[in-house]
Amino acid sequence: MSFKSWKAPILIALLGLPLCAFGATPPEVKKVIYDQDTNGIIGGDSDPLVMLLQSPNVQVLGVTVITGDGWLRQETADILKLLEDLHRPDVPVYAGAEFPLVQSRFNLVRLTHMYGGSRTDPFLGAYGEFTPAPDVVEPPPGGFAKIKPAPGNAAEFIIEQVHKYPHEVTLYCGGPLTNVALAISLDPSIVALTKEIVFMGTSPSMQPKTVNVMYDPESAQIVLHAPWPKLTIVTVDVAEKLHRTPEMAEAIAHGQNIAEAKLYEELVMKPYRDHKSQQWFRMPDELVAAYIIDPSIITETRRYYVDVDTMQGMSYGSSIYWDETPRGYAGIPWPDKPEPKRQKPIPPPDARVANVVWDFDTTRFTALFLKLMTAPMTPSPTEPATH
Amino acid sequence: MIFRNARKWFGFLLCCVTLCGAAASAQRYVIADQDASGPGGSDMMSLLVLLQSPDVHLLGITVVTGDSWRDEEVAHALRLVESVGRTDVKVYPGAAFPLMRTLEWTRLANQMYGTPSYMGAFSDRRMQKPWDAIPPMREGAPTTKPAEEDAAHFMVRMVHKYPHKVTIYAAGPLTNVALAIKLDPHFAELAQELVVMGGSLSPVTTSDEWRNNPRHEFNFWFDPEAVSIALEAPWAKITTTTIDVSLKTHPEPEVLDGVAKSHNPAAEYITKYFHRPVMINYLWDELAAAAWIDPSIITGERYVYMDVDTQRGPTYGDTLIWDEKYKPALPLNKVHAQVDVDEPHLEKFLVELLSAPTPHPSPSSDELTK
Repeated sequence: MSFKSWKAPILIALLGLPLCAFGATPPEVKKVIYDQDTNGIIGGDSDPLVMLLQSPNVQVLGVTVITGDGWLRQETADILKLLEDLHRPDVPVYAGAEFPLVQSRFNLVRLTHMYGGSRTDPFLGAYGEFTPAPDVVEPPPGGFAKIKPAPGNAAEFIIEQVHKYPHEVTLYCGGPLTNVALAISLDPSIVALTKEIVFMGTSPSMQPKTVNVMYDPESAQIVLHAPWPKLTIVTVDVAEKLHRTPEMAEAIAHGQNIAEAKLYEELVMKPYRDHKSQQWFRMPDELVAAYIIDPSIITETRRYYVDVDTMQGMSYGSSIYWDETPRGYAGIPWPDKPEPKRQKPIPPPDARVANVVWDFDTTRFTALFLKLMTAPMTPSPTEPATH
Repeated sequence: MIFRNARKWFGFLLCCVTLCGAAASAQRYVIADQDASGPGGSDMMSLLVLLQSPDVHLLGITVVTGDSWRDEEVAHALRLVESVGRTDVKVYPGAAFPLMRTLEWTRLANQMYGTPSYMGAFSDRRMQKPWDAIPPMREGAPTTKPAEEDAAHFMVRMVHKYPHKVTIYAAGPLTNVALAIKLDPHFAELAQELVVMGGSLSPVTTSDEWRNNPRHEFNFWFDPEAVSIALEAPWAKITTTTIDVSLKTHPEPEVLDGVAKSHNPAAEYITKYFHRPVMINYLWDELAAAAWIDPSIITGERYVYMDVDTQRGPTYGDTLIWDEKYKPALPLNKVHAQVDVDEPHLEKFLVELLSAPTPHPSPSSDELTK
């Protein structure tokens, strides 16, 4: 794709923006494709979908499933069951890539034995040593859903929707980036036609190997190298600021969303009252959803070049950050004019600058999260979200 | 005119006399850095080549883990010099382990990237006992002791004692050589030459070990970082005996038969400890030693830039070479890589040398009596 072909549409979009802002139109409805792996039917991989479905300014065009925390078939069964429980069978679910581009089912475990795993979370999702095989599908809580996945595959759906709504689609990417990488490879023109891509993954300092990158480092690199009009990244570092609490789970268990209340009561509160061990995990994917719904919850973003190590060694799947504007060394800023003996840090030529979410308002985030998770389920729109 | 001519002639004659005298008496100094598995085998026979040659002053044998583990190898080397009555040549224990490679990591890497057909000391057979245990020796335990000085320090000391006169003959992994280089940055430039048995360019073979991995070679594979250190050091000359030429030295049984006719100590050692009929497959290290003594044994070489792959992937330890035009923008050394051999000449050389009586050391050659 040439430089020209994606620059012109952005320019048009920028020119069009003030017109919309001053118009007396109702608040813009964001069209979102929910690209996600799952790990059960509640929690960090599923609640963001509830948040987006329940938010009046968001239209979920469809869910594209990707192998990551679990294997594709199990994940698809989980997502279908969740949508059925929520009475939203109108949201199409597309099965995505079952396997990553280069990464193999056994590679991550072997590399972990050779070089060590990620720093803070010894979790390898679908690729864990004791994870069931890709074709093992357990019934989700309450049994398998009656609704079926939509015919077609995730990458094609992404391409089709981006062309149908040029400059309108936001890609929510809460899992490894295989589907998006495949879509780019099949049709590079979608990059310039996408409004924004928000990716949960990479880390500026806490743990260079983050699962969504480790699961498929090559796909992550393809996506991070693409010239998106806007690329936003939510990292584990910023998400570490706020973990789930028993109070949050209790609020949802007592909420008006009958399906979620039941699931949280059964799967979280009951074991909690029985003193079973629970993971009160950080909420990075929920933060991605919150950012899409209400960007003002984010109080600071920083700009960095972000790239991924794809050499199969100790750092395979690590993210690496470079300052967009070099900050200097030991308190001495970089001079405006180049000095022959002081070389500036050089990002790789293919790397691009991402908006990295750096801080957020935890109070407003929690309020938004609980409001959306406890509100009664809004009925399906009269006309289907797609087609 | 006449007077000046006469002076010229006189000078020429003087030169001749000096050269002849030097050729007759001066021996070439060498340190044999060897992974001395034994008894018998290429490691031992190449040491015998250096011990047997009247033109060679073997300053010492430095031992490194490679084909087998160091302590066991030291015992075999001691027993060898005892067998041929050359206990004046001391044995210096060197590195027991490669610089970076570990057994545990190698086992995991083999699952990840595939297993080499030969792993020397790391093979399951060699790991049936603790690495530092010395199992019963077929040739009997040595009565002499190894030197107290370690291999690397000994090598450094020798090149300072005889600057530009000592050849480092390294027929095992290059761990000791790398340690000597890092102990003393002047080490490489003070040596006369580095002779290596190692590296592989593009051998034509159906052998399992290289058929699919032509750039793989055991000595480089066992300690790639040491090879990288050794090949980048400022040597006056580097010669390598590559797999390409080694595989052209498949000897006829007559080599051992020829040696067996002799009843001198070296020949008896070889006859006794080489498995019969012929178990000797290729003359790996013997060729490196013999070609250093008689360069006419080598009939073809490539003069190329050489390095080793130190990235820990499937090609970790593989030989890398470049010609002038395509070399990377890095300081690299050119290496005389032997690729062709006059095999009848080599076999004749070995039979004659190994059948002969072992030369007695001249009293002045004992380094430790200074």
